[in-house]
Parts: sequence; C-alpha cells; structure tokens
Amino acid sequence: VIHIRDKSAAATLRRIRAVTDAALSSLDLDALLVELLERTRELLSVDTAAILLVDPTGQDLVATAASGLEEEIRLGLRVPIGHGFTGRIAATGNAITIDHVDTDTVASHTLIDKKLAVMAGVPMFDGRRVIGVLHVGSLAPRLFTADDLDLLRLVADRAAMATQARLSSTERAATLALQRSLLPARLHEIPGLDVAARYVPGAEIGVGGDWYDLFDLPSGHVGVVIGDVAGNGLQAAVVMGRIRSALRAYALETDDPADVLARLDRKVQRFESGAMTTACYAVIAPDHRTIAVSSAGHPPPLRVTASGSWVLRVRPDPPLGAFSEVTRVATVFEVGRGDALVFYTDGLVEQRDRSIVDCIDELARTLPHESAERICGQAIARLGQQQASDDVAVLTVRVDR
Amino acid sequence: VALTISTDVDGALVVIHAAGDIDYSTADAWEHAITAALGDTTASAVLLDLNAVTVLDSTGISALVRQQRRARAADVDLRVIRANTAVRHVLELTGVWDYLSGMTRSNG
Repeated sequence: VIHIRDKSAAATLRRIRAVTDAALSSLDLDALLVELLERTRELLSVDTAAILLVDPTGQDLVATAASGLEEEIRLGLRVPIGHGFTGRIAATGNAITIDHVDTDTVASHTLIDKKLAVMAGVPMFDGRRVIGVLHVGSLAPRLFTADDLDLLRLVADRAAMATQARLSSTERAATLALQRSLLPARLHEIPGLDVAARYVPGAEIGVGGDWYDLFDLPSGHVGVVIGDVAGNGLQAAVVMGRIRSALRAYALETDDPADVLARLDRKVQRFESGAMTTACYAVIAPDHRTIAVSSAGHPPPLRVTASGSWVLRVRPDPPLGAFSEVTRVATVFEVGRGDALVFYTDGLVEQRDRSIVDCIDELARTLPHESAERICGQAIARLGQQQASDDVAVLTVRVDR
Repeated sequence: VALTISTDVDGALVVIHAAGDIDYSTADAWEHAITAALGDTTASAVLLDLNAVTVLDSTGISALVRQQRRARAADVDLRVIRANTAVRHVLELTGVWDYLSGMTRSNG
C-alpha cells in the first residue's frame, strides 16, 4: 500500500487510476471510449468531452464518441484535417487550448451553438502517426493547467490503444477480403502458358496495394501486369482496385505496353493524385516468341532459362502519378520455349543497408528452372521463416509453347 | 530512433539531413520536415542530404515525389544530394533519380 500525504499527488494518482483502470478493457470499444470521456469530464470538471478519429482517406476527422455533447456524433460531424480547432491539432500533432469559441477558432457549429467558453484538445497517436483528437470544453471560462493537459494525453493514449487494436483488426480483414477478390489465387488459363502467382500480406505494416493480373486480348496478345500502390490499408487497396480495372480497359485499346502505361498515368495524375504507383506491364505476342515490357518505376522482371537466370534490362520510367509529360518506352525481348518470366513487388527484394540491385541479382540466381508454381514457391521461400514487413506479390509466366 | 532529421538554414538555402530508415513508420515525419522547409517562403533551394539513410522504401519515395511537385509549383529547387549507393540504386530503379537529383526538369 502506498501512502501519499501530498494532497495533489494523491489527486494525480486518483486521476491516473481512473483512466488506466484495467476493468475498462472488458468493455467493447464504443462503451470504453464513452466511459473514458465521462471519467475525464468528471476529473476535469468540464461540460463536454469528445473523440474524433481520422477516417480511412486520411483527410477528415469524424466524431466517434462524446460525452455531454452527443449531438456531434448524431450529426456525423466531419472536420477536414488542418481546419478549425480539432483539425489543427491533428495536422500539427500538438495540444491546443483556445479561450474563445467562434467561427475563427473552431469548425463545428455545434460547439459554437452550445456557447462553450474554452476548449482544450490533444492528439491521439499510433507511434508517430496522428489517428485522432480528444477534446474537452467548458461553458464557464477557466484555465487548463499543464496537469490537465497531461491527464488529457494519458486519456488519449488509452483511447488510441483501444481504437488502434480494433481498427487494425477490422480494417485488415476488410482490406484482405478486397485484395483476395482482386488477386485470384488461380489465374485465367491460357493455352501454351504455365502461370502461377503468390501473394503474402505483410506483417508489420499490414496489407497494401500490391496487385497482379493476367488476361488475353482480342488480338491474341496476352497482358501481364504487376504493380504496387504506395501506402497501405484499405485506402491503398481501393485505389489499387481502380488502377487495376483502368489498366485492363486501356489494354483493350492498344497492344503497346508503353502506350497503356502512358494512358494509365494520365488517369492516375487526374483522378488519383498523391497515390504514387509503380507497375510493370508486359505484352506477350500471339506466337509467344516475344514479350514487350514497359516499367513505371517497378523492379525489372527476371528471366529463368535452362542455361541460367538473369534480370531483364528494362528502362524504369517514372512511377504512375509522379511527374507529368513523361516519355515511356517499351523494350522487346525474345522468349525461348521453356523460358519463365518472373514479376514481383519490392517487398521481395528490400533489405536494410543493401542495394536493391544486389538483392535482385541474388534473387535471379536462386530461382530454379522449373514449373511456374515451383519458381513462385522458391521466390517466396527466400523470405525465410520471418514474415516480411511489407507485402509481397510474385507472378510467374512460363512459355511452354 | 529509426530516423533522425536535422535541418540547417543558411540564408535562402535549406539543407535537411536524414539518418536512418525512411519507411512506412517514419515517412510522415520525413514529409513533414520537407513541408516545413517549403513553407519557409524565403527558401529558394531545399537540399535533401540522404548520405546516412539506411532504408528508403516506396512510402518514402512517394513522399519525396509529392513534395517535389509542390516545390516546383512554388519555384523552389528541391533535390537529393549525397545519396549513398543503396539510395541511388533504389531511386534509379524507381525511375525518379534524374528528376530528384536535378538532372531532368519536369513540368510536374
């Protein structure tokens, strides 16, 4: 038993206990957040307390839990990050207090209409990333002390931990479901080609925007693509889905892979700005004797033959969505019977303190000249026992005739 | 600390030194440092010293490209300097080396 004589120290301890109470863990997330907010209101003697979370687009805060001012939730309040009181807390990652509440300082009319006099808010973090904002408000003028802000930070940490645990499990499940629907384990069968693909979701940073696709075209050509939308989570997977369909549409218009990527780039610049995407698109001729390859900043494909394996010398043009007015080229390679072409994403060849070029050369050397399925398996096995932090996709096309 | 960022300002020249990993977990802090330098209206050039960078993943490259578009719009010269071999290789392979090292002017 700890005896605390100092009254303020005892009060501090009481405050900490109130918001770190292990019993809170047994509540579901919504109930836990409301309970935390109610305890916070009581401890600080404030009239309202609310939590807003960053939505999956990363552009807005959405009111998620409140105590005292539940209208915010009912009205589905959204605040753009960077705007108003809560928006600035999310943008800067700093605690902010305001001593007058009007259209100059806050974005929510609910807060103004309630005639709040003062407000204080702190960011909620997941590591260094802001995932939300906790704020409190009082109808009577008052000062928020450094101790009050410390308590808010403690509550924000507790709320962030609980929120993150749920977000990551539900978002990961949704993203994985979307990704699985877009990345068929069994690809479309094309006579004369032996095709296999593997996708391994990342451990640390979760599921991302990796994709692959293979389709035959009316001209008798076969389109093969692999790509990676930067970022991860549901948002990256949704953007990936749109880019994947757009590429299929452009592939129907021209058999020149550089032309397809140039068209796709214009679309990405216009409608998916900010989402840098690397992609390698290859078109196999109807007789399967040549392949034309164009790369938008994507690691080069490998060629596995009976006499050895090597990296295809493809010029990497800039990623999709990176720069405007880019010249794109396609390089044509001959393909022998039995040759396999291996496409992959960077998660397979990223190692700390090692050049990606060395990792790619090493990957090429380790691939056996076998079936597409076994080549994919060997490539993935290279990752070893540890699950990779980034997600990894591999697609192999072996030309049998 | 996975990534250490320090900024030197010398008149209109800003140099941002990065040491460590620029990846998913640090890309936001990295992009924020560049945004802050570009927000300084007196800066005419922002140089990114990547000599001590040990990992540069696609999230980090994406942040670089995004900020370079902003810099060009604001007529600020933003470029990578002192890239080590691994950093140079990954930027070359991503097709952005010429743009980020100042060898190509783009309209983007």
